[in-house]
Amino acid sequence: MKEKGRNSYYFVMLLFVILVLFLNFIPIWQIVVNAFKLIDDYNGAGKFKGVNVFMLPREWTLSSFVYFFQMSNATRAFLNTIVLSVCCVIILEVLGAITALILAQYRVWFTDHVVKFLIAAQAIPVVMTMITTFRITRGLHWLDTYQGAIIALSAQFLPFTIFLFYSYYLSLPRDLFDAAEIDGASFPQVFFKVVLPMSITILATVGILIFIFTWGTYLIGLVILRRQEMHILSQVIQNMDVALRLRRPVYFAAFAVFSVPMMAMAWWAQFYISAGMLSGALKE
Amino acid sequence: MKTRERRNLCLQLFTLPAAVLISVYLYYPIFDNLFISLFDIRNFNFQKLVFVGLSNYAKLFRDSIFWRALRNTVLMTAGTIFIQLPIAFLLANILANHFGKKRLRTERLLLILLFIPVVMPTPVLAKVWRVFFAGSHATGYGPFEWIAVNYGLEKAIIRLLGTKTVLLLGEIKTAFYVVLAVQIWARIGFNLLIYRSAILTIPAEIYESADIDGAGLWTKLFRITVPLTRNVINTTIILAILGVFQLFDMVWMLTEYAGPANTTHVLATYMYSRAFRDFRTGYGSTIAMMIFVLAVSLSLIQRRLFKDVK
Repeated sequence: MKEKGRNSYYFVMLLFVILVLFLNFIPIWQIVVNAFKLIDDYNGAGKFKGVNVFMLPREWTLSSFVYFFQMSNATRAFLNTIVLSVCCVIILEVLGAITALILAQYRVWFTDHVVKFLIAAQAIPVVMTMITTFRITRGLHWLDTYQGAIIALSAQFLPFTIFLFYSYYLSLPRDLFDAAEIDGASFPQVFFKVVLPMSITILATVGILIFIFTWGTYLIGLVILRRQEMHILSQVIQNMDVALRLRRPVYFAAFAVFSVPMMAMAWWAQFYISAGMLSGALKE
Repeated sequence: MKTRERRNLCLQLFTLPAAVLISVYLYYPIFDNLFISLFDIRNFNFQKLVFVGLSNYAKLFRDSIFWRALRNTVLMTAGTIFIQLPIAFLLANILANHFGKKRLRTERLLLILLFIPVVMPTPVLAKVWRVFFAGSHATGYGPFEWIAVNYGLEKAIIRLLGTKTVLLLGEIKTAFYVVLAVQIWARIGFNLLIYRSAILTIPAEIYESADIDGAGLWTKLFRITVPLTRNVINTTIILAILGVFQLFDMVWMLTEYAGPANTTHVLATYMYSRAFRDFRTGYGSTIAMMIFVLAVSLSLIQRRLFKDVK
């Protein structure tokens, strides 16, 4: 059966797919090809004088990566980024799971108001809180410290985390908790023995999403982590633009180093991400 | 049952850490900014408070860069809602309705390829495109310039866009539109994934009965897929509005501090550059207040409009 408007429909669809695929291809291809090039190769000759960006390397080399990690603060920045992301994930998982469980299954008369209060904070644009965040952090003498950045960043993602956990825990059957109560289980017992084993999926979802959101974070670094040893990768990438003007392959290697953990995480977790995004999107 | 209520009340104490964090880092700034914006504070020096009343706001409305930033933010919002979301929706529709039910391997590959920019850190996306559009460095052309020169497109591009050079990020006329295009491109995958999961929840029977009634592909798209995912579309619009108002790193890194000549500022970058680079804390807070008021009221208006439709 031939459907009406079939040709125009498929033409438009195909056009968009090809367009987006092509645009996505450009950055990836540039990173893959240029990170493994020698500088002379990148600087090119003949027709490609000055910029040999799109061709495969004549000789594959890891020297750009070596150079990058020997740069003064690159390794430190890499470690800082890992510390920041991982600590945020841990704090948010613990705080989010416990808070959401209590709000969803151990309700009292004011719980609804608390839930609204916590989740509505998602609507506050994070950028506008930066001046105050700086003030608070400075007041606590936490500028240029891990805890300053970690707690500020965790706070930004807390409403979203609580929301994800809350909608999941709300869907758990009430009988489960009644049964645990009749058996005389305490809250820690219920949490560790009953709820945690059932929350592997949501824990993974939240962990992966938070890792992805915090890995490329920039503004918190600019505002709180100002000393060079405390810089995170996004700041390093920003500051290297001019310094590496004549060493572009190293710059592309930096891109690769910055992207790979996040891409690996996303690859490993395709299923969880789409499940989590959906539950995040279907709120109302 | 009394003990149960007592225990529940005790347990509420454990929600305090989260509540305190959210109050301090997200709610308190609203009042703090409101307070700071009434003073002329330089360089975060709160020992020297000069009360100036609403004059920061008056100054803001006469500030041409602020209006430029607001215009850019509005354009960015419009671009996101009217270009990015429809593209994402169409792509999601293809993946969900023309592959999804059959679970082809191609779909998985296509999904990953379409999704790539979302799993790369924003700074990398910004900087790759910055390098792509950048001007000649000591050794020769930038990539875009090289393409233009080598394939003889230079003249055509200059004539078409009315610029002086093909360094589009350095030209006042085109710089913001490059940012806009990159930002629209970068977030397609995110919305695509949300839409795809939403479209996959539509029962196949609805499409089958539409087939029996002889509905065409376009009809099915606009009469079934779009109405049945309206909730999700609404949510993504709100997310898009909120996202644009806190859009910072993409603009800041792509244009190197919102150059040329401050023409690519959006509200967030303008706030940052006033408060943290020019050290005009009071004025920065004023802009922060505007961001808050605009973002929240816009998403409230959007929600109200949507409710009426329903």
